[in-house]
Amino acid sequence: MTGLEEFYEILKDPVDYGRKLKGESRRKIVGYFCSYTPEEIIYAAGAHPFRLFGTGEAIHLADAHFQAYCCSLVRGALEGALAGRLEFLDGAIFPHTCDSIQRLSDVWRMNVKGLFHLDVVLPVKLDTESAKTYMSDVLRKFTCDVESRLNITIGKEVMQDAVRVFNRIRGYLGRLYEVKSTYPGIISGSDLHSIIKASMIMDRDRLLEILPGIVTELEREKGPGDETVGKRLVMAGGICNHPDIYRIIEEAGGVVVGDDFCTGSRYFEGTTEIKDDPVAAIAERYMARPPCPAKHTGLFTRADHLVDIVWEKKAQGVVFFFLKFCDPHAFDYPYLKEALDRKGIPSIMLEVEDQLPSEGQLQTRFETFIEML
Amino acid sequence: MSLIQEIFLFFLAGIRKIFLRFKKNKKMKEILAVYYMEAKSTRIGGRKVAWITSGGPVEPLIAMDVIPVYPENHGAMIGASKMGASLCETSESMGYSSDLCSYARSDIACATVNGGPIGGLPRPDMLVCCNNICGTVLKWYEVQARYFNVPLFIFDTPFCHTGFSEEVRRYVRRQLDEYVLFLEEACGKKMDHGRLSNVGKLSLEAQRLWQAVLDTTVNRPAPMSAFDAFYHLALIVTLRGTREAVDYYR
Repeated sequence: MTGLEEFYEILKDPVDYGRKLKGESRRKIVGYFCSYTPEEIIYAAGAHPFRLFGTGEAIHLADAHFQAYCCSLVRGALEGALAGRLEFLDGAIFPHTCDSIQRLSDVWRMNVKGLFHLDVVLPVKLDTESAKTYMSDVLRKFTCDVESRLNITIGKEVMQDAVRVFNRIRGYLGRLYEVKSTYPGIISGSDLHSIIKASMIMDRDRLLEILPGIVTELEREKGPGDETVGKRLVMAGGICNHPDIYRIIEEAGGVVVGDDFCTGSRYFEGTTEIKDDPVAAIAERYMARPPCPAKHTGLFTRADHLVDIVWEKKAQGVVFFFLKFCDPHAFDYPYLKEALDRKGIPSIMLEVEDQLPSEGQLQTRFETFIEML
Repeated sequence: MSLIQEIFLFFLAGIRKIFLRFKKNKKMKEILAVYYMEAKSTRIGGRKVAWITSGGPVEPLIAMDVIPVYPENHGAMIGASKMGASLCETSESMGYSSDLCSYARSDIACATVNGGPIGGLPRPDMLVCCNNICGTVLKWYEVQARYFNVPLFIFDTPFCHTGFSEEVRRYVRRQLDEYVLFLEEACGKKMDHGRLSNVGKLSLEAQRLWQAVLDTTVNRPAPMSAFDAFYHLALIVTLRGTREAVDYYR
């Protein structure tokens, strides 16, 4: 689709974009790693939340600090910082998720200088009253920390406005997924992926200038139905940093109509209520949002959620797409697969590092899987 | 062969294996053999078994007369007896990645085949997972809670990167009360708080004694090596809050 050049331009060199944004907007740029980072609070403080992904470059410097069995996201992010590529960042936020991110925080604090460093140690279990109280307490403390680091006081109205901004962004991203599911041929998987990924990097005000037009145009246009496009698939895993995977799936006769990704639906699902206590409202969204496997909301909630997505999206199969060495996802995989098997939903599992395996190999695997559906 | 005979032979085999494991230190051997025998014969004695992580608060279990069992120690035992490789292969055939923690993988596989050096751990009635040690235990205990279909209590201890904070203290303190409620429900009886306080005192005493034992190593030459310390660690982990642990370290 046309009109997406701006997103592709940003993704071609996010670091360059970050530097320019800082220069033009004079805003502080705050790096973050996962969808449990309260972007609203960073935005309300007048700073820019900038999501960090792994590096596409070779990893040397980070090897001195991390074992080879840490995931490429963690090693790549540290590599970028140690190599001086992230010098435009004014701060970095480390929400507690997995052991590797926890360690990244400590290694980063001790080795990357010149920017502020904040941990947001959120609760791991999200299904009790005490955890809910703690979640609000931690986010309140985080707000104070951000205020003191950026030398600003965030008023209630400002925070509520920030919540509205992110609600709108999430709403539009959700509508994009809806339209893709209804008319799978209307926008390619890579295009959709690029919008989502860029939306975590780019200036959010600019995003809200262009995103509504794209969404309404797609909704008006209506595209070809599934019959002409391919077998409907859902993807599941942690982060997906590989736009090419969607093209390879499409060339093999499939189409991705939904996902359970941290860089996908888990990022935008759930609306934050506009409340008198906006921080408590942000906490409530985190408690209710579909969880990452490093969090606990019940023994079967993630499997139930995945099956629900498959049914809701009328998908015929699931592609598990994992980052190698991601423990929480690897531990959940057998039970998720079993839950799908029990419902007669076929699945395939792919584990990747920073780079995709050879395209021919992937193509063959996907063709075989999709033919079977 | 009748079921009773089968059960008897099963326990006999288990106990023999246990004795073989602990032949090194006589005192430790006796205490741990009794502990594992008790744990493995709870079905007859009527006591409940809880699987708990190494850093989890064991005192409330002792006060409730529940036998604590440590899958992490089991993972180490499996590794030390060189039975890990085949159990890890089993876990891989169950779909677990070979990159995952081998303690977790061998224990997860062991539960399904009752294998390993002591013929598998006694079946749990409940699971207590404290994540102060790592995030892996959360996933490991979720797997086992689904497999054994028993209640799981997650004791969530937020990681202290640079300091301890008041909101963390409040959260952890509230969970202690939730933990007691969980145990009361799982055991079908009320906690005897007088007994819990006594267990707490014994636990503190054992911890102080263990610290004194460790402190002896400031001397040159040190009276024990790091390996000795790992060896004698067993009771402060497994039987913290009991008279045996206090006596042993004294």
